[in-house]
Amino acid sequence: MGAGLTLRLRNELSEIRRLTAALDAFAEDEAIPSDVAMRMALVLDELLTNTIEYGYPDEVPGEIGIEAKRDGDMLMISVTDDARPFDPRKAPRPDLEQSVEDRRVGGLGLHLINTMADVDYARINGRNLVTLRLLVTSDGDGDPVAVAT
Amino acid sequence: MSDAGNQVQATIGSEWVDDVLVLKPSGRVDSNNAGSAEAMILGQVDGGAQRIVLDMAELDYVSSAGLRVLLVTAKRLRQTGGRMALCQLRPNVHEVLEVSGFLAILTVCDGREAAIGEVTKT
Repeated sequence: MGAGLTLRLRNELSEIRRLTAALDAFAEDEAIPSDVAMRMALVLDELLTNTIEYGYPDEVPGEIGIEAKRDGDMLMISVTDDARPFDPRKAPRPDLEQSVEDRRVGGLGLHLINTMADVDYARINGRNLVTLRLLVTSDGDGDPVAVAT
Repeated sequence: MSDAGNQVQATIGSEWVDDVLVLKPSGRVDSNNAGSAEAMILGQVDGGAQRIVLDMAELDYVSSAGLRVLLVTAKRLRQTGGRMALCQLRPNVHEVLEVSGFLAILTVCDGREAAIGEVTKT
C-alpha cells in the first residue's frame, strides 16, 4: 500500500489538470481499477470546479487541500477549502426525467458527486471539510470487454 | 491571472458524410475546455449543420461541463429541427451519461453507421 496522496491547489480552474495528473499517479500506485479511478477523478473534478467557480469572491486567492488514501476496499478522500460555507449534499436534485427542451442546463456536477460517492460535510474553523468515500470494487466496466472466440 | 479567456482548446475532429457532420472529440472534455467545444459545435449548427453525429470512440473522459455542451447542442437542434446522435461511447463516458439521465433523452447508438442512419432517416 502506498503513502497516499496529499495535494494543495490554488483556486484556479487550471489547477484541475494538476489534480488529474496527481490522481492518475495515485491510482496507478494503489492499483485502483480504471472505472473506480474515473469515478474518483470525476467526483473531485466536479467538487473542485464547483468550489473554484462559485465558492470564492472574484479575485480572492484561496487554498484547497486534498488528501486521499486507499484503505482496503475503500478510498477515503478529504477536501478542505477556505471558500464560503457549502454543503454539497444539500444541492437540489436535477429532474432526470425531463425532456431535452425542459431540462435545465447545469446542476449535474453535484448530482454526479452525490451519486458516485458517499459524501459527508462539516464546517470546521472557518473551512469546509468534505469527506468522500468510494468503494474500490470494479464492476468490470473499466476493462476491455473479453471477446469469446 | 484569471482563468477567463484562457481556456484550453478541446480536440474535435470533423468530417462530412454527405449532409451529416460527424464530430469526433478526443481525450477529455471538462471545465478547462468545454467552452471551446461548445463554441465549435454551436458554430457548426449556426453555420447550417442540421444532422450531427458525435463519434465518442476517442473520448476518455467527460465531466458535467461536457454534458452541458451535449445538452445545449441538443436544445439548439430541437429549435432548428435538426438531429443529433451519439455513438461508440466508452464505458466511463457511458456511465456518466447514464447517471445523468442523458441516455434516456439523447439518441445513443453502438456504431457510427447506425448513428448516421438515425440522423438521416425520414
